Amino acid sequence: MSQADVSPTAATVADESVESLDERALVEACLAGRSDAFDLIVERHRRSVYQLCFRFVGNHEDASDLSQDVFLRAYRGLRSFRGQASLATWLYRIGVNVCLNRVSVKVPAQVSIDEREHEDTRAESPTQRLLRDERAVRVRAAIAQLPRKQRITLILRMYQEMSHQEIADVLGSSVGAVKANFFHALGNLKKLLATE
Amino acid sequence: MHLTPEQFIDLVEGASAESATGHLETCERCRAQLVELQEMRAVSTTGGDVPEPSPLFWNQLSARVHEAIAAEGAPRVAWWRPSTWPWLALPVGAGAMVALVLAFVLTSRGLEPVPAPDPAPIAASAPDPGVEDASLSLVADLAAQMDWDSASEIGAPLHAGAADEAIGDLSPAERRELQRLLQELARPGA
Repeated sequence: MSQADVSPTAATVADESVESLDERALVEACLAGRSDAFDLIVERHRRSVYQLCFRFVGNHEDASDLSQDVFLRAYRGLRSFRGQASLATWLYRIGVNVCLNRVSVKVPAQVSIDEREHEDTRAESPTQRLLRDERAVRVRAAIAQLPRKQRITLILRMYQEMSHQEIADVLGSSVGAVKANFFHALGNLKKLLATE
Repeated sequence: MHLTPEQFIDLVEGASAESATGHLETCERCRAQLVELQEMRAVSTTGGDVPEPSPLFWNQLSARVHEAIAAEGAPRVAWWRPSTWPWLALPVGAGAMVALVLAFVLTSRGLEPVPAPDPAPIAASAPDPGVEDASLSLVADLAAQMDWDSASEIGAPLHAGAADEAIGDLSPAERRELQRLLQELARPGA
């Protein structure tokens, strides 16, 4: 039995708390006009969407704007969600497209070391923290210079911890292509860091 | 033959294949490349830190999205869904009626005088496989899925000769558009 078969329909969820609904039913509730259903989708996925955006653009302001844009586009395209992939994968796909469109017209910014005051670094000495932050800035700058597909693949694999299959679903490619992109991303990262 | 990128990634991530590990024992070059990849994978982890925003940020983000959506209105209907084409309902409905009548006439030719088509069971009027015109088959399929309520909603006339009347009511421009639409819908892959 498919997921759609067991999901409450839009009509039956009208009086139900959205908290108990599965993804498909949540989408149906949104389409039926329940704004609280989409609020819940945002609440469940906002952190991962924000983190994805941040890793693309490297600063809070842009990541915040992009996250809002991702959810707005998701809402506009809600009827095209067919439940074949998970809602998270579908949102990632939108997120990747939104980020790539933004990044293609804007050089990714990097957070300066001084601005990174939110992190809990109490276990580190000031020197260790400085070295770690400098290394992170260099690595992010190098990642930003990778070809698009290699960069996306590395971000999704290393930081979003998505499987090769999930990345392939997001990018609309094969698992083999994802692995090849990851392989070349690591190789190019080494060259980029070596030339600095 | 050296290891492929896929084999390297499998090894880097700990999913080793026997053929790959066997090759590694004898190939110094692949061993060195594997070590480099493992190092770069470890280095790349340092670039993934996302500073935790203010705890208030998450609710602010939700509120911003909520406001933007409230201003936006209801979710849009996907363009490829038939419900986005309300202007198609009347001509397609009329076309479906014409197709049904034609299919009936073609299959009954040479048998008996053509009786008036039964107006009641629209949904039960299955298209005849003998009708070769693809556009007629298509509209017949569409009509077969149509129930009484849907037919009434689009104002489709349901009595004998209604199809002719419906076509007769169309302007020349509407007839041309109907013809174009039927041809377009009948194209393979449409």
